[in-house]
Amino acid sequence: MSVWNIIYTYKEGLLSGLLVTLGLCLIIWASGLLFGVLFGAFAHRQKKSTGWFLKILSFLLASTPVLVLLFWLHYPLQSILGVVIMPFITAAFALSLINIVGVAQIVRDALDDFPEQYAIAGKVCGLNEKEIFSKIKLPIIFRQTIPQFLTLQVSMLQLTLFASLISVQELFRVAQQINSIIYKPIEIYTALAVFFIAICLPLNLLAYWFKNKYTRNLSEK
Amino acid sequence: MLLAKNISKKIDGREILKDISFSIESGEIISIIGPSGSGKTTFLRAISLIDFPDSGSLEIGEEKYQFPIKQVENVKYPYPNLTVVFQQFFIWPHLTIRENITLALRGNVDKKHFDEVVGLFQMNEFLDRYPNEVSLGQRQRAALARALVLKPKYLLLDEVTSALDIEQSHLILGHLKQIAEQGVGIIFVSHAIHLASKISDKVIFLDGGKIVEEGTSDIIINPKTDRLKKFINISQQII
Repeated sequence: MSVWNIIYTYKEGLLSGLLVTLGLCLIIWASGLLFGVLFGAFAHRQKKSTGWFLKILSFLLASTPVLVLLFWLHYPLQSILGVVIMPFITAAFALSLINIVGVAQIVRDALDDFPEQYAIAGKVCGLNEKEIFSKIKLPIIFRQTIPQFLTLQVSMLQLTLFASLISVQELFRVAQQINSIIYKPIEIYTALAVFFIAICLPLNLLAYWFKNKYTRNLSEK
Repeated sequence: MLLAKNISKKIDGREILKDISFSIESGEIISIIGPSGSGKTTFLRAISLIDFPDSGSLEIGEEKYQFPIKQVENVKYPYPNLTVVFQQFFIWPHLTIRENITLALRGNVDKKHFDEVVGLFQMNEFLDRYPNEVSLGQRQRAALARALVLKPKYLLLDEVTSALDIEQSHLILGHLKQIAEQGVGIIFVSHAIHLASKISDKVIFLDGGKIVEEGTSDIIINPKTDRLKKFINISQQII
């Protein structure tokens, strides 16, 4: 059975797995972009409250393996609270939390490190606050953060594989199930690798392109 | 006229500026000289309202400011009638030199004036380059051009020749003289006292946050105070 035969024969299962993976990704990416940017901006503005909260949270998450976090949220926490939550929701929550904190750190660091003198130079040229933000601060910060942001999102896509371990019917779990029926690990996992490369490689290349185009070597001669 | 009266400023409890008064007319060039830490940059930031003074008053054309400022949000800033060129220039790195110069014009570029300024600083060859692709001297000219296209009435310059060689500094100072002749009041902070004195109508020697001596550029040749004498002697030894 060739790779194409496997894909064709199990197309419905693979497609549903793909949709679950992409759905999970969309939730993680969207929440990271929305709440991560807001969290980062607040952490920059309120260094003593939100800033410290972000620091503590990022240290805690950096010290906890993703799998441990996922399992802890799925088994012990639900047992303690006496609730049963769908594995998809648990996985989406855990991975979104990681992404939000990651994005918030990128945004907070970029805002903290922004050379305020560029804004003062705009002010003395007669630009108003809105113009300084949209024409000076935002473009500089965007160019600095976009490669890191894209790289993080690629990592988040790869982390969705862990969701299979708490029974989320995403692409990797579907592939495992097909393999348990027909036992063609080389073909199945090669197809899976090709799928991830097809998505991750363009994103990585995009991050690389942004890095080269926008975060040119700004050090002056 | 720009008129500063009894300007004082403390930073972290330390008095950096003590009761400074001075005035400048259109077309006049005033050099502020003094050793490092004498308060020159703080003075420039105070009179340009980047950092508000703690006490005193300031008149910039029609606008009057009394310090301390009671409601910061109601302050009507004098920019770009008064503008500043900083020691480190702060050319925006994501924009080309041309975009840097025209950004604050909001699309209303006076082509004739723009060409005049670009011609004055001989900038045609690097207008479409990014700041990291040009030399220090070119960036410095770009910073001056960015300020000049705004047609300011008062131009405040903080050590703008500090990173340049003697030849380039002479060139820039020559340009400043031309700019002043067009009616722009220039306050020029520098430690290059001899260069400064050549183009200045008035020289103010600042030390310990106070005006120690002021007058025409003759005070560089015949200083009255021992402190300025010592400062000039040391400067001459270094040259």
